Amino acid sequence: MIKLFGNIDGKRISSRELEEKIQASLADGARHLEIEAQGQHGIGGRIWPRYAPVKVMVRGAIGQRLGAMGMFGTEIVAENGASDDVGWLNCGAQITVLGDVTNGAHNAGAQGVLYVQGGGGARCDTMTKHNPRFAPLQSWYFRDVGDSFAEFKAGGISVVCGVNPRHSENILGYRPCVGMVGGTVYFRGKIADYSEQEVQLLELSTQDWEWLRVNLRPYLSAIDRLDYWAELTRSCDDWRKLIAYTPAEKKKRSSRRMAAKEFRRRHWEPAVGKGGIFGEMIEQPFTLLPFVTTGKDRRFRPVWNNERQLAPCVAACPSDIPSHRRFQLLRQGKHREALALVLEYSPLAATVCGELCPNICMKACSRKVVDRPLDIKGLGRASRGMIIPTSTTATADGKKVAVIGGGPAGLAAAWQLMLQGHTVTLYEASARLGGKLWQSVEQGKVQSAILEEDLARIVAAKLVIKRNNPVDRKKFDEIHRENDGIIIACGAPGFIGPEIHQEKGKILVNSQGQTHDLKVFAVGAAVGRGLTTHLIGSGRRGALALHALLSGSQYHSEARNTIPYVKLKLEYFAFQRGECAGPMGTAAPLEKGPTIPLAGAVTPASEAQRCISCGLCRDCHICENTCHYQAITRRDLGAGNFEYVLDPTRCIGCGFCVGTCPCGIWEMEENI
Amino acid sequence: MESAQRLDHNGELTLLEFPFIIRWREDRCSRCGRCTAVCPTRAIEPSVMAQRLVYSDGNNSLPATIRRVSQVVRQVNDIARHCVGCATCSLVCPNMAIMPEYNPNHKFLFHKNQGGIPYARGGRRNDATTSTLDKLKFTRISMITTPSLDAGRHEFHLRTLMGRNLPPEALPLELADGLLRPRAGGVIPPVREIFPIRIGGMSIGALSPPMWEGLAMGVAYLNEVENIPVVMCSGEGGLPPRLLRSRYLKYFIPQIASGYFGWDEIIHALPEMIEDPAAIEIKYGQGAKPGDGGLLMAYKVLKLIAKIRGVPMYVDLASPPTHQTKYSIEEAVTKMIQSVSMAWGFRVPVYPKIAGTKTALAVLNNLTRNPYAAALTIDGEDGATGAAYHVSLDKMGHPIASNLRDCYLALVKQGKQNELPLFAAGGVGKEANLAANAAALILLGASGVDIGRYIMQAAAECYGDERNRCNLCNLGRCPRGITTQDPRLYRRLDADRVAERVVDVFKTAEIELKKVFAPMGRSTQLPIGMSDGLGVADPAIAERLQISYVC
Repeated sequence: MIKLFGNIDGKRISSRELEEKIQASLADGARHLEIEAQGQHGIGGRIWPRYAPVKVMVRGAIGQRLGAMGMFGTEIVAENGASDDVGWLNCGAQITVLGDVTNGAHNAGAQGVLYVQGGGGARCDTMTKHNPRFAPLQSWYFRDVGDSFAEFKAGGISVVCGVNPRHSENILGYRPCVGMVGGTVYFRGKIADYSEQEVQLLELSTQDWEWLRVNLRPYLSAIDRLDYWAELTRSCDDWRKLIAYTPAEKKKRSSRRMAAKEFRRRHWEPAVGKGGIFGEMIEQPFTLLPFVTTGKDRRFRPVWNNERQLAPCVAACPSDIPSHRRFQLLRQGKHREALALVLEYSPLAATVCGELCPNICMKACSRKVVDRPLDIKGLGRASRGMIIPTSTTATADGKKVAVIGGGPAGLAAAWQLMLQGHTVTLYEASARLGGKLWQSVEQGKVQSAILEEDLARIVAAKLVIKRNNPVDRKKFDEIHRENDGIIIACGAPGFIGPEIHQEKGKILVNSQGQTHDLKVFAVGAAVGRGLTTHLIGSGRRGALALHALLSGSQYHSEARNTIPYVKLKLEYFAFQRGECAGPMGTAAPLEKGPTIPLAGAVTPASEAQRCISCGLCRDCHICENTCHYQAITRRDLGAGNFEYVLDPTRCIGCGFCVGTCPCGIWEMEENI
Repeated sequence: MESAQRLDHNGELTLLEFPFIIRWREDRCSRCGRCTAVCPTRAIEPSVMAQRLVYSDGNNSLPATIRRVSQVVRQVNDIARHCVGCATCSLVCPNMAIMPEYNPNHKFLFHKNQGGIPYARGGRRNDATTSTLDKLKFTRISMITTPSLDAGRHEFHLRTLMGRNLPPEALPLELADGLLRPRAGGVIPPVREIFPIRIGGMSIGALSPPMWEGLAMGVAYLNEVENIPVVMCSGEGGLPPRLLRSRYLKYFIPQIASGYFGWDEIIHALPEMIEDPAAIEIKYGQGAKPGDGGLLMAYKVLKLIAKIRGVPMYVDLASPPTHQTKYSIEEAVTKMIQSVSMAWGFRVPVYPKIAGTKTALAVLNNLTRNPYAAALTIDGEDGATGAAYHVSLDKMGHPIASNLRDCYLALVKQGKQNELPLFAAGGVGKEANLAANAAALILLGASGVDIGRYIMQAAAECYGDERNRCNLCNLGRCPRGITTQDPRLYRRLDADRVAERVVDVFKTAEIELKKVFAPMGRSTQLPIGMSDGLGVADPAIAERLQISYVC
C-alpha cells in the first residue's frame, strides 16, 4: 500500500504532480493507494486495466472530477463527500463516495458504478451512455438529487433511494429527464414533474424488482447502510421508474395535446354554440367537400342545348329555310322528307332556291372554313317536283283569309296559311300567278318549266285562286268584311284607305307585318325591298303572324343567335378533302364517330355527310363516349327523335362533352 | 354573322404572353376531366385535336392517310381566363399529366386591362428578391463569454406587453398601509401580456367561414391548451355574435376601420360580453395598399357576411381610405381612441394601425402625447390583402424595417421606448422564416409582430407566392377555400385542420424564437431593441438601420 499526499511539507502540490505520482506508483507495482487530497483534480481516473485490480482510498478535500475517465478494475472509495463531476466520463471504475456528491456526478459516464452514501447536486447522471459492449453504468444515490437530473440521459441505470431526502416533496429535483432518450431511473419517493414529452413513468416490473434487490445489497454494503435493506425492499410499490419513449413510441404519440376535433367538442362549441361561431348563420353543413364534386356541388354543369343557336345557313336565309335539318334528314335516310321540308318554308323552292337565289346560306355555311360550302342550291334543284306530304284541307277551326297579290310574297303567304289549315282566297289582278318571277323567265334566269311546276303545285292545293281580279277600294272593303284576316302582297296597293298608314308608297307595318288595321297584314314589296327569297320569307312570316292572331297564340320572330364558328369542332371535318383512306390506310370506314365519305360525285347524301350540323345535334355519340363518368345517355324518343340526357349525380362538370361536341350543342353554365 | 377571321387569330394573344403556361402530357392523360372541373379561372378546357399523316408503304408512292381526332386539354388564350398557376389541376390529376409552369417572359400586365379596368387582385407585392428582414442575421452569440442558454432545456418567458406601460412614477398609485393602491380618480392603463406574434386583421368576408373559425379556434386552443397567449385581430368585418358573447373574446382584437362594418352588432353585444376583448385596433391604413380603402367585392357579400356586417347582400362594400369625420391627425387619433376606450370603460388597450409611411413619426409623436394610446402597429409594404389594385399592391408603401426602426429610435430619444409598444407587420414570414423575421423586428425595436399571409400559407396551404401565383382572393374563387364565400369552395377547407396547423405554427415559432434568443443569452425578457445582436452584409442597410455591418 502506497500513501500519497496532496500537501507535502505544508505546500499543496498541483493536480499534475499528484497524477504523476499516482501513475508512477502504479508502474512500480502498487495496487492499493491511499491519498490525502487537497483539492486535486481528477484523482483515481485513467488507471489502465493492465494494473488491475487497483484500489484507491481518497480522503481530505477532494477536488473536482474524482475518478474522471475511470477504467475497469479501478475501485475508488472517497471517505467523505466529493466535489463536482464525480465519475465524469466514467469508463468502468467503481466509485464509492461516503458522503454527498455535488453537481454533475457521473456526467457523460458510460460504464462503471457510482455509489453515493448521501445525495447528489444538480445535473447528476446527465449525458450518460450505454455502450452495448459493456454492462450498463450504475449510479446509486441514497438520499435525493438536485435539479435537471438525468438530462439527455442515453443509457445506464440511476437509482435514487429517497432516504431522508433534503426535499421530501421532490426527490428528483426540478425538471428531470429533459432530452432523455435511454436508460432507466428507479426512484423511491415523491417527484414534482418530469419531461412528459420524452419519458414515461411506470411501475416496476418483476425483472426491475429483481434487478434492484440483487444490486441493492452490494450498494448498501459499500456505503455501510445494510440496516436499510428491509426498509428499501419493503415493497416493490414504493418504487417507480422513468424510461424514455422509443422513437417509434414518440412518433405514435401525437405531439398535440388534444386533437382540434376534441377541442371543438369539449371546449369550443360548449362556449360558442353548436356548429361553431357561424353555426346559427350557415345553412350548408361544414362537412368537407372534395375538390371534384357532382350534383349541386359542381361549379358548372353542361347542358344539351340542341337547336338553342342557329346554324349560319338558317340565320342567313331570308326565307328561314333550315338547310341543316334537311341534311340531318338525309343522314337519317329520309330522302323524301329532307327534300320536301323546304316546301314548309317556300312553295317556290325549285325556282328560287334552285335557280334564282344567290344562296346566301352557302356564303354563310361553316363548312367553307374547312373547304367549300355545302351545295344547298343543289338541294333546291333536287326538290323539283316534290309534293308536300302533309294534308292540304282546311281544318275545322280554320278561318277565312284573303291574300291580295299572286307574286312570290303572296304565294308564300297563301301557301303558308293553307298549310296552317285556313280557307284561303288568293286575289291576282293579272291572268297568271307568279308576278315578277316571269321577268326572270324572260331574262333567261330560270326555265319556264321549272316555274310552272312550282306554280302547278300551288294551284293543285286547296286554295281559291281568283285571277283577273284586281282589288279596288270597294272590293277591298268587301274582302275586309268577308274575311277574318287579310294579307296584302301586291307591290303598290292603291286601294287601301287612310286607316292603313302608308309612307313613301310603302305600307307601315310593325315587326310582324301587321298594319294599323290589326287584321290586315302587309308583306313583300308592299312593305320593303329585297330578293325573291326575301319576298318569300316576308310572305311566310306575315302569314304565320296572321295565323297566330287568328288562333289566339303568339308569334315570335326568330330571336336565336347564330352559333359562332369557335363553338364548332371543325377538327372532326378538317381533312375530308382529299381523304384517301380509313384508319391505318384501310379503305374501311371508322368504326365509331362520323363517317367520312371518300371523294366522289356531289349528291345530297354526300353533302349531308359533309354538313357540320351547326347547333343541331348530329347524334354522333361523341359526348356519350367521351364522358369519363358515363353521365351522358342517349334517349330515343321515337319517330327519329332523340335527346341526350345528363345524370347530375355522375357529372363532375369537367366540360369534356362541351369541348368535344362537333356541333356546339353542349354548353357549360353556372350551376346555381 | 361572325367573321371567319376569328379563326385566323387576328388580335389573339400567344400563350407566351401568359404568366403561366400549362404543360399537359397527352401520353399520361386519361381524359377524366378532373383538372378542367377544378380550374378556378377555367383557363384550361377540353377540346379536340386533329392529326393527319400522309404516308406510303411499299415501294411506290401510293399515298395513304392516317387521320385522328383526339380529345385534349388545352389552355385558353383568353386573358380573362388566364392561368394563375395555382396548380389545382396538378393536385387533382391522378396521372401527373398536367402542371402550370411560370413564364418569366410573360407580358400579362400589357393586356390585363381589358375594358379599361385596371388589374386588381389579392395577395401581396410581387417581389421575389430577398427582403431586408431576411438579410438580417443574429451575430451576437454568447460563446463562453456569457452563459449561453439551451433553447431545449431552459425555461423561457417569451411574452410581450400590449398596452401603455407607464413608468412607475407616472402610475397613479399611492402608498397606503404599506401597500400600493390606485389613487382615486387615476386610471392605470390596461396592459396585456401576450405572445409576441399576433394574427393580424383578416376579416370575416375576406376569409371564408372555416378559415376564420379555424384561426379563431387555433388561437383559443393555443391559449387554453398550450399556454401560448396568442391574440388575433378580427379585421374589419365584425365578429360573430356567438364569439362576442363567449369567454374566448379575450383572445381577440376587434378592429374598427373606416367602413365600421359589424360595429353595430359589437355594440349591441357589449352588455352581454362576459370578457373584455384583448384590445381594440383602429385601422387607418393597410401596408399592402396604403391610401387605398378596403373593398369586399359583391360576389363575396353573401348571406352570412351581410348578417355579420349589417349590410344588404350582393353589394360592393368599400371602406374609404380615410375615416370620414376626422379632419386632422390629432382629431383622428384622439377622438377614435377616446370613443373606443370609453366603450369598454377604459379597461381595454386601444391602439391605431397605420400603413408603413414616411409620416409614421408624426403619428407616433402624437400618440406619445396621448395617455390613452396603447400601442402603434405599423404595417409595411410587404403585407397582403384580399383585394386591391395591382398598382397599389406593387408600388405603394414603405418597407417595414426602416420605418419601424425610425419609430423605435424616436421613442428612445424621448425615453419612451418601453412605454409605447410598437408592433410591426407586413411581410413577416414572407419567405417562411417566421421566427427569424419576428426576432429581427424585435431586435430592431418591435414589441411584437403581426402575421397574415404566412398563416394562410402555413395553416391552409394558400398557393400564393411572390410571382403572382393564384392571388384570386378578390374574386371569391379561392381554390383552397380560404378567401371565398362560395360553400362549394370553402367546404374544401377543414376548420379543425386549420386550427391544428395554427397551433403547429405557433408552437414551432415559440421553439424557433427560443433558438434565436437562447444563443443570444436572453430568456426572461424579449430583447426589444437589442440591435447590437443584429448584423447585415449590406453596408447601406447596416447604416440605415444602425446595426453592424458584417461580412
